[in-house]
Amino acid sequence: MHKFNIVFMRNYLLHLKSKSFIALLVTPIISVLISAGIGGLVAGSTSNFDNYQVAVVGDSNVKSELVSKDKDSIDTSIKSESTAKKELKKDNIDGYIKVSKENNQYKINFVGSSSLDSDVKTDLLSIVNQKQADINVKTSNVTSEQYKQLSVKPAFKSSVTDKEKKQKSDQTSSANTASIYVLIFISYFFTLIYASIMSTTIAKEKGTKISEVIFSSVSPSTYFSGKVGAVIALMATQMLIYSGVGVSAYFILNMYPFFNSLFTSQHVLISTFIGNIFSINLLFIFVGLIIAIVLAAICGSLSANVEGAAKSSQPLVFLILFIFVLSFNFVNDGFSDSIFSQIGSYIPLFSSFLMPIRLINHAANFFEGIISLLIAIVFITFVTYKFSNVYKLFMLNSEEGSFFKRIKSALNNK
Amino acid sequence: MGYLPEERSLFEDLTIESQITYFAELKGRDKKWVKERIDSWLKRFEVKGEAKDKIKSLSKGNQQKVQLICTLIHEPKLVILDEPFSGLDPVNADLLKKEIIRTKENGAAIIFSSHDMNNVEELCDHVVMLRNGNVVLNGSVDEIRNQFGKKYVFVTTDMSVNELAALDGVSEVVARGHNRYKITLTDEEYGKALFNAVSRGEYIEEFSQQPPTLDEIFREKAVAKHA
Repeated sequence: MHKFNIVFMRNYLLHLKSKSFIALLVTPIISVLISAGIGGLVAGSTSNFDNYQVAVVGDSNVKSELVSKDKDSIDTSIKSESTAKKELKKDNIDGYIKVSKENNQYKINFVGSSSLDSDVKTDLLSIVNQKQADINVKTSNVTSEQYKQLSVKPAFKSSVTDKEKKQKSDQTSSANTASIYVLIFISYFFTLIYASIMSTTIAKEKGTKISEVIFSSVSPSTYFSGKVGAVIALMATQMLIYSGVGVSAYFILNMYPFFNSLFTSQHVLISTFIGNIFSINLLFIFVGLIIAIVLAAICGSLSANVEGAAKSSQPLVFLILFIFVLSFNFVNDGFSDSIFSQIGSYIPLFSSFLMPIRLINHAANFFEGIISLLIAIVFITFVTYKFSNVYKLFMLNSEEGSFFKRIKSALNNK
Repeated sequence: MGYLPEERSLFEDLTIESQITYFAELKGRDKKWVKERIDSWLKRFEVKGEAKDKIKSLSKGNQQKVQLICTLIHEPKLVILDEPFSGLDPVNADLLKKEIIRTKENGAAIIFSSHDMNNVEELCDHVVMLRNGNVVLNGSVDEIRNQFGKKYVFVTTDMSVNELAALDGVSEVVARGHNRYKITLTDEEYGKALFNAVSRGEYIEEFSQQPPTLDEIFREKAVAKHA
């Protein structure tokens, strides 16, 4: 165990401090920030372009009250109807509201290139209704109490549960689809990246006599376990950092009103999405990555040197690519329960892509998920144990030739 | 155990200190114990570089020295050295020889493979020569050399090559310059007669009857291999 710790820590820290890992860690975060920045800029420029502006002419009391409510939508520099007409003609404003009062009645006339903005309209009518009511009270000689009685409105209760339910269901469905795609892409990219790191790390030692020196100090199985463990820990570190950044970003953004209202309105979508990601599905990704890392280590040990690592890893890369493309066929609810999906969701590595899809689409239950996960764990244990016993043979074998020829040659040296 | 392969086998991205510490830790030494000794070992081997320098920044000769430090620093009881002098100039080869002898004096058993018979003759107590995986020579340096008889005579004389070649028991005479000759006898028994013929009862500057060197034996065995 002591030597395992030495190998594990040395390799883990070496990877952690490497420039390539820092780049791997930071690049996606920078990409997200740049995308968000570009998105913000585009949204900003679009909103400037679409900034709704109207002029208000006529009754100055109404105008001042409306300006206090919809400052951004009112062009206060326009004072007269003639100026407003000119500005409308020049397309500098979207329209103008003329407010006048004749025979104790307020009259509102809107002239514009499009209909009056609903928010402005609501605020305007609210202001004018109140003013009209005041005039009505005065002219009808009723007391304010009598007016209140006259103003009593029927009680109105709105129950739109079906719509809300449908909205919730829509949000859940969107969240499920989004989380499936996110899980597939996370699985795919992490698997490829860490498989490449693992095979290169192993192959780097293959081209030299370092393995001979190391095997004179530590058993091949301990050394192999330490190296694989270090890459798994590295991957876990990256996942933890991203989780931490994600949670922090959520709480920081939640302090801003815009995001707060967005998160509140999309509560169902966000909570479903997070629930789908941070669940047994994440375990499937993790286990799938471990399988890929162990298989990549085998591929790396079969290459003649570090330059040959990519070539040796090709069978694994093609397999991952195949599963990645295959998994898109089962994203839709209807296909998640097909026989291919059912079988695939119990085959190690395939299960890391297919079982989360089935679980999210409720095509498999939690118990089935656990069974699939256990099969994958047993597979990892078996492959790691078996391979750690022949690791030395693979590392000390320098036979060239096809993938299977190299495996055969290594095993023949037993 | 300490093992030094013929090819460079270091992690080029590690610093000298990390590299030495890592291998020594794998050999069971405590990190602190190793760090306390690194500087003195670097000084002893005259490594051009600091402990914090990366391995890849060192010359091949210095990398070889670091590799040797990795092999010996943990004070192994068994050391295996595969062609340890390859890539070293004579000065550095002497440094290495000193360290090998020091390790031997400290009680370690050293298995050392080399094609340079001068180094073998200088350092080894026991020699095994392998050809096609079979043992063709086995014994101490003196035992092996004496197996081939003291057929070589190194002599300084005014006599000419022809005069020497005409003497009894002489099979070959090689001039080495400045009246020095290497004479090969058909049998070591002719040595005494040769001495009398060359010295004629007078003082002579040099007369040394020796068995063949390991280098000559190696050549002989290698020729036998190709024959």
